[in-house]
Amino acid sequence: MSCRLPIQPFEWLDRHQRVRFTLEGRGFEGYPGDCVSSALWASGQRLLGRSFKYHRPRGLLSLANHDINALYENADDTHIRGDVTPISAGLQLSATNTPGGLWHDRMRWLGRLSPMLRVGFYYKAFHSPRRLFPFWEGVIRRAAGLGKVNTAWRRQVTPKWYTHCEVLVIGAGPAGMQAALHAAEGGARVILVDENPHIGGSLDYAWVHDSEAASIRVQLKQAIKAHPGIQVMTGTVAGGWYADQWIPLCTPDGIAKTRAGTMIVASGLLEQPAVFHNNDLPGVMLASGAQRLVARYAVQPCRRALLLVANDEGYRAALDMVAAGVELVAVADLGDPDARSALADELRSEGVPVFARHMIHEAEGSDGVTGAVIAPRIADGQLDLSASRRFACDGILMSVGWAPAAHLLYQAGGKLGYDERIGQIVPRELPDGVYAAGRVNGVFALADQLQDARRAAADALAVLAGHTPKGDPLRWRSRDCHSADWPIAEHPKGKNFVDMDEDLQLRDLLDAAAEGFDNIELIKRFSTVGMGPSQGKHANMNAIRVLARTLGQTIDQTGSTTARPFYHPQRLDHLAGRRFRVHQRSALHEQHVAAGAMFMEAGHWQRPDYYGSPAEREDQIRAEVRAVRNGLGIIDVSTLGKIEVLGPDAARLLDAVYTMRMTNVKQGMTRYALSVDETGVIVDDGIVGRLGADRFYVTTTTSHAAASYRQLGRYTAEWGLNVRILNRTGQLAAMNLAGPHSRRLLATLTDLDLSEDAFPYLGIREAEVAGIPARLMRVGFVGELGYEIHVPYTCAAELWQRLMADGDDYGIRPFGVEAQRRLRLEKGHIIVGQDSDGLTTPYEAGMPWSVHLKKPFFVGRQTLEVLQPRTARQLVGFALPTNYTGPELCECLLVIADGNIRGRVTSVSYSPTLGHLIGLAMIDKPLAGIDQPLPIRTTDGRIVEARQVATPFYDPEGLRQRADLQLAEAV
Amino acid sequence: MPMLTLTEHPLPLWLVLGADSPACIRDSGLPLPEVMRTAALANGFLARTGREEFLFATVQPPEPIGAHCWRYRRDDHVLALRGSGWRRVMAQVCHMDLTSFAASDWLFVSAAGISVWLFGLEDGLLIGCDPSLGNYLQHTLSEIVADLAHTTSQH
Repeated sequence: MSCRLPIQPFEWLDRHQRVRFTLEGRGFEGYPGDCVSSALWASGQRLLGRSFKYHRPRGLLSLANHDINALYENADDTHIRGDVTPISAGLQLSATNTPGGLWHDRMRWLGRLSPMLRVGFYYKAFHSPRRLFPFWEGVIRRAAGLGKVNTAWRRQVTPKWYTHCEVLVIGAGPAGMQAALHAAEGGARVILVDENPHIGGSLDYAWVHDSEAASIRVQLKQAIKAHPGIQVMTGTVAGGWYADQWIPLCTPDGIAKTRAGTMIVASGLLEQPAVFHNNDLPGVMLASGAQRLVARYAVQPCRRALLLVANDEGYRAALDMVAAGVELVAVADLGDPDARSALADELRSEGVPVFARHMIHEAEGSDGVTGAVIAPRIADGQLDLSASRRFACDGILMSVGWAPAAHLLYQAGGKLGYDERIGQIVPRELPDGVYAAGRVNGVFALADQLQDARRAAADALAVLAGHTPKGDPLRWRSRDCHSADWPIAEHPKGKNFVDMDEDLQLRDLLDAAAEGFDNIELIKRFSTVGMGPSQGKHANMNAIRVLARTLGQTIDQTGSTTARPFYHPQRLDHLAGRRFRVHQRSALHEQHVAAGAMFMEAGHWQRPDYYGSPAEREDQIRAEVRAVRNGLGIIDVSTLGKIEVLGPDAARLLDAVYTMRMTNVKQGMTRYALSVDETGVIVDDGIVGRLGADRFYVTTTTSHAAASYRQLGRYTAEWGLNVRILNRTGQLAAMNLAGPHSRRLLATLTDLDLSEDAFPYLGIREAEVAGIPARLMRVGFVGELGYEIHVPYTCAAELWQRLMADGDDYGIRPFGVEAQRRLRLEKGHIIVGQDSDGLTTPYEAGMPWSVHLKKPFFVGRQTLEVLQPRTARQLVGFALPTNYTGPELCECLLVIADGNIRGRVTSVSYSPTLGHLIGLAMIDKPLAGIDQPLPIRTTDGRIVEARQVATPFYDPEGLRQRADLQLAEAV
Repeated sequence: MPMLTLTEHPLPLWLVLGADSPACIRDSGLPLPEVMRTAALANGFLARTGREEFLFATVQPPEPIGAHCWRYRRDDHVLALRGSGWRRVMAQVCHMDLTSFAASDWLFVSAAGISVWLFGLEDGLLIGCDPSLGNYLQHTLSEIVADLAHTTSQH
């Protein structure tokens, strides 16, 4: 039985084509422009979905993106909303959360248990015994849920993009269109957005037959189309409001992150349902939903309808239904029809019986509406059932009140409150640059909406021009009531739903309030009202009314729940966007790839972990360590922070930032640079090299490079120093040539005198290496004679290749991060952040030599002075025997003594040089002592007794790092 | 629509900074632009990136003059994004409103999560970043350019 109407003046359909689709195997047909729900309804299909909890039959409600019971899924997607999703050829849908299918849902018997499934049932019923909760949790999870996620998803990149405007207008109804036009005519760049596929809003479904609206419609639409300053974005939802007027505009193609100078919210209203027995049956719908169905999709909502009204909008909808050929069996007015506008008289003149001060007691039917019973309202919202009347009908339309679509206003920091006169929550105070216009501002008459829109646009223009807005937002607000204060009827059988997302009945909310949930936020969480997919768009207002009446307080005193982004759910791929994942590559990346490096991530950096195949990882690492100890190795250390510190106060700055004295570092020399924070905790280490009287070169750890740069800049500014700081971390490549043969190889490539006297340990020089300008530092992190060579980024590959080629005679081998970690561990050098934690002081790390308390000031000095005598932990070295075959040791294992946690392992590795496991542990000081046992608990609970040993484990005298000794050795 | 292209655009870059740097530029007979503005040089440009900091795109930068003037070579990864759709590319990575960004304009901004500088061309812009981030930026922009080209061809 087709319910399709003749062509409507503003319908969205393309009647030249037909589209076929299926719902659970049944074929349906519609026109391009139809949504799933309208096409089904046009085909006579009244059962559109099932409710979440009781699996009750559900139909149309709003056609405004909160009919979440008409929810579908297909092979790719879930949460397909029938009331807004366009049909497309070949679409194959099934209803969500319907075991056995929409028509044969096996769970539909659950409704009969509703008297037992009262609010809070889940919390109470499965609380005890606790051991059974996992079982019940599984049952609940299988029964609940809205749709199944296809876990075989494919990567889908949906970019986000930025856009800008001076005036953003939300909603392209009459007020929105007028505001956009007025702002654009004032010279502003305007974006006008509407969630519907066409502009027009209520003008095109609620004012279809109004002669005044006809001319306004034509004039506004034509002017907007012609105006170059207005960008229209349809099918677009303003998802939320974020600080500094950032608004995500959720388009069909992705999210446009929009920065708006000002924002005019003309988002209109959300019609609210009445609450009566069986108010969820298919055929019960909002009057505005019925108007949308007729005007947009040319579908008759029903044959015979009863209307429940509480405002002029209801009478206007009634006349629209008459025009659509619907037989109105009666109109029940919650108030006084004589107080309405001439529309009520017009309806009466059509012969429609109008009942004053009547409410629906119940809807009749099982799978759809077959009748309605109305009764006079008496005191306190009660009904006089002795005077009830029954009407046979297949549709019940409700126009009893409104809630503002005000989420953006709330999020922007607006203050809203209940206006008793119009029965609606309206803006009271809005932040600068944010305006409300039209019905969301409580302005109902069409002409008044246009005036209000001009006022809002003028205010926005004034703010953009730097002036104070002078408009009066109350000037055009309605003086009539448009929402009933109690559109709710109790019923002994219940099934009078307040929240159709969550199947919450009036009784549930009354019970929750009686249990002491006397705050709207608490009752929301206990009952889940407003927590379904529509987020309370049709439920919150009635829930507030119920709680307010139960507690005997006003709507304002009761308050409303927080309106969080996003206004409608968004696809995850839209939220994810393009997924920028920053990576940094050193200038030598291609060299490492060619050498077979296996990379690891170090922050954003990609660094060689080791060279070779994963199957040979351990062997390769040991070979890399041996190459450095016995021959020649080279490692890319480009990731180290590299900062130039320049100017007359450079030495003073570094003296104050680092724990060691820096003012007396000689030109051409470096010094270990340890920094602590104000609490004395180690934050970074590196090297300070002096290149001139007022010229220093600072290196930092890889992870702290940016932070060190910021820190130096901050202190320079705070202390008013004459210093320039330049971060060259990425601009320079660096490689550490290390091993007994390093000097010999380097000598062939530079004119620099590399003798111990001319270029001593910890020296820094500027020279050419292989014709490339370079900075060289003699450092000893890995414990061999070594030269850190820093060169411009674009020269690094050439130098690396030259060193590798010329170093072939010395058995040169690139080594990765893991080999470096073992080499430094053999020397007992700490890695900040691994061997130290968020509480470690230099004293605990065994580095009192690095703290120069004789300096009058450095960051953290005062604290360290206090902490020095109170040092309670100590970093110690430990070793295991060569023949150790026990459980694997790893970092973070606990040191347990006398059953108590006394420390943790910070580093542990097999030493290829020493032939056994070595490590560092941070332990309670009383436990520390050379040759003392160190009981380490492994992951399987066993205790391994390690032995504490002195560090460095290797070459404690540091002889290996002396160039002259190596020279003598060679001789 | 002219083809949207993204190409590497190596430039000889130098940073000159320090209290004496403005005087150094003046004494070298070069134009001294305002902060965040550029001046044209023969086959290059000079951007004032701070009160006492300048970026030169030229093969012959001035020698530092004075005790407080330093010069450093820069190896920025520079890309040229050209074609009428360049703003659509940038809109995906950069929050700045580039509607009125024109030839010879200069900006320091964040794009795709990293710091970059922009220099306006007649038909697009140059975008430069730290060389270690060059691979990332080029890969990211190339993907966007390809996506937009694909979208355009579909339309």
